[in-house]
Amino acid sequence: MTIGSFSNGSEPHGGLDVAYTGTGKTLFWLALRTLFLTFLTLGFYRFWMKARLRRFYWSSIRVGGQPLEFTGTGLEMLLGFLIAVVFLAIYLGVLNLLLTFAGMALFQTGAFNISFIAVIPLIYYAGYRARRYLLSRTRWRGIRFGMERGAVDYLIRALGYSVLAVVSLGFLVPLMDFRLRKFAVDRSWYGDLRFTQGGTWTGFLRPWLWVYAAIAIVALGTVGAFVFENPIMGVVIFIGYIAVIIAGVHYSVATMRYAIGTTRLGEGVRFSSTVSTGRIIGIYVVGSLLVSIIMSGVLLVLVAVTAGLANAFGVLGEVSQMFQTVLAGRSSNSMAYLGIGLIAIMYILGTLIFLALNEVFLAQPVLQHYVETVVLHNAVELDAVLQRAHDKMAEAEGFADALDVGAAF
Amino acid sequence: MPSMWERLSDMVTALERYARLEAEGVWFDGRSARPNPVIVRFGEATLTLSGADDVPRAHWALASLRALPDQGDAKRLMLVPAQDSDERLVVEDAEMISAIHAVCPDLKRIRVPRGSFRRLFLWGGGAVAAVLLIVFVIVPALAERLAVMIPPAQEEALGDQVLAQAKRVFGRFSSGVRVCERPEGLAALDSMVARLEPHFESHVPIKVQIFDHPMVNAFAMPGGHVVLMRGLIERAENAEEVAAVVAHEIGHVMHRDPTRLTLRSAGSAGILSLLIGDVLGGTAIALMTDAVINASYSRAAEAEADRAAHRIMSDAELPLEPMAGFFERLAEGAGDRNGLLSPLATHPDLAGRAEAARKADIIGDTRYVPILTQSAWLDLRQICRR
Repeated sequence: MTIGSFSNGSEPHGGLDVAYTGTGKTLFWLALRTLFLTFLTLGFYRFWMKARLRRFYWSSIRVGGQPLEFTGTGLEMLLGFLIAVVFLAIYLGVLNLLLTFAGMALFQTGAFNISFIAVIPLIYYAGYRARRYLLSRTRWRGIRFGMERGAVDYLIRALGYSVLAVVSLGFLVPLMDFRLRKFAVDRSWYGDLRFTQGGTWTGFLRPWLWVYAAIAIVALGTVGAFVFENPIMGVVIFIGYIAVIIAGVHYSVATMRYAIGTTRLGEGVRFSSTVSTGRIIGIYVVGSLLVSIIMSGVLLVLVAVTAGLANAFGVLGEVSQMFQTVLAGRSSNSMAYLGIGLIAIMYILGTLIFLALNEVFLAQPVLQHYVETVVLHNAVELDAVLQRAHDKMAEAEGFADALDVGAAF
Repeated sequence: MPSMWERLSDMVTALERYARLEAEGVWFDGRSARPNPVIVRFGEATLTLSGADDVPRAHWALASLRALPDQGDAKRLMLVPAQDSDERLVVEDAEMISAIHAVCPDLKRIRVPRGSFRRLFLWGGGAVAAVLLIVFVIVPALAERLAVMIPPAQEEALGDQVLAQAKRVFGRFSSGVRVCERPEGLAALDSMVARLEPHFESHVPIKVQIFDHPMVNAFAMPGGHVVLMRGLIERAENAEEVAAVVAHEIGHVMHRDPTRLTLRSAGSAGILSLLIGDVLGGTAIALMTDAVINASYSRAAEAEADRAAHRIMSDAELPLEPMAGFFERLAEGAGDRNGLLSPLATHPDLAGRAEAARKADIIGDTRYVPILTQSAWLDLRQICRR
């Protein structure tokens, strides 16, 4: 091991590779352990689970040989969640009062739907704040990332662009996606170096047209089914749906590739990405298959273990009747409860293993592909980057958490 | 396997060995992103980082040294001189890593920032208070107002949703509960409702149906749905007892009790599920149905529904003695070991309600036209026969 090898990935012209070093085995046990603790604590541990999984993922991403670091803590995220609950409860409570006393005109499909609509603007607000929290809790080479305040401006723009997108029948969705991304990227920093989103929204337009084309197939098939009443139209609609899914994935991949390729850090650091739609879809297909195959094995083992234990406790004979007795409310039979408890434990165990497997075979490979296809060019400027101040953000990503719109990780 | 002697000598020379141990590392000073290649050595209770010129650049106390947890790569150690420091040291030398683990037992210890628990306690209390305020003050106030303002068409839509869910709840496994539909029985049920119909005014049409379920119970749902369980009809001794229960449930519908309750639980569940993150609404529908099924109206609401039943029955020239008798039998059967009676029997003060029914009775011993003929009553009792 030489000192030089620490900075491997450094190209002669100052470029940096991005590598992913996480292994499925480490991730699986970390995910399973933390999921189990989350279950045991009725969900409270999920903040610590999130922190630990992020620490794992971040530390597995090496830019120019040095890993990223996630410095957020579970305690901080729990506190943020509680703060968000207080504000949301007041917001929703007051809003519902106002809506009710403003009259019944809005009351169309159930009282809680209004609350849901009222929450939509908050989702954008929460999304920006969550991104700011994530960046402020990320370091590389000891230097913090960060993001300027601007959630309210972001929210107003998001609502404006949403109106445009709806009025244009979806044609301006890429405009919205690009401008909102630019708004966020242009306010992001690494140390004292600012990110800039270059390019134009038309870069997002071409992949969006494929989504449009796919939707057109579904629409044509649907119209055709009415006009011709031919079963072949069902096939057309089915193909259309598959096309919509593929085009949707392609849109998110292609826009990410374009956005990364047009992002600049400081004066001269540039990025490029060769992330591929085919690979991402391949990962989803292979990953889902692997998860299904492994889960079948796991279920077989769990069922065998359950049956074995049930037999050992002498409750196997009760299994056939127990659901009926318990469901009818006539379950004085403690053996039946034991049997049901056994099945419940196995069911929960199976679910936790399934979630952990998804993390290993879907989330991690997708992240790995996105990360490994990125290259930094002309990165000499990075050595001179200076530290930035800590962004306190007491409410962390609580709003996103409470509204369930957190970032993917 | 090292021999005992070797292990002993290892321990004796450990400190000495560590003292001479050196490894390469990369140091980040926390001020700039420049990587600084360093030689890492043990000093006196410190870790010393020296530059290529062998001049020490930093001394980190071993006592406050921390390693970043949950790292993706076990072969490298990310060190911090103290918990909140900006400085980082990356070590990849396996021997150095195990040496550091050996001399720093606190490597993984995390000190919780001061005041964390106080703030957690305060905001946790705030969150609980806010949720309680919503569930027990704001939502009930809203439900009270909305229950009266909701247009009948929307109340019926709400009722259909609750009814569908109730069918699922009382069904076994995935199939919903069977609604009893033997034609002769339905005809008897219709004539029972027809006898009561001219004597009450409801904002929504009343629709009575019977679920094939052994429970002795009856529910009112929003939108005028009244559901009787097969168990109740089997338990009743005559048609007037059933009619009194129907009239009681009609009373609830007229006073919009089920609507109030549904809106209340829907509001609470909706807002809570938004807060907790379940935006599918599944919890909301399940909870609001649960509330209606386990309908716990206030004593005042029950008394009001009873008074409505007294009025309807009396106006229809029917006796209230059967209602009183039914309540009394329910009260006696509360200790019934199969427990199926419990839902109705736990209604408070059955004896008092029986007495009130008897007091309101205006028929007494005089003759009256029974609500169902004997054969219609038998038909109703067999409505669940296939």
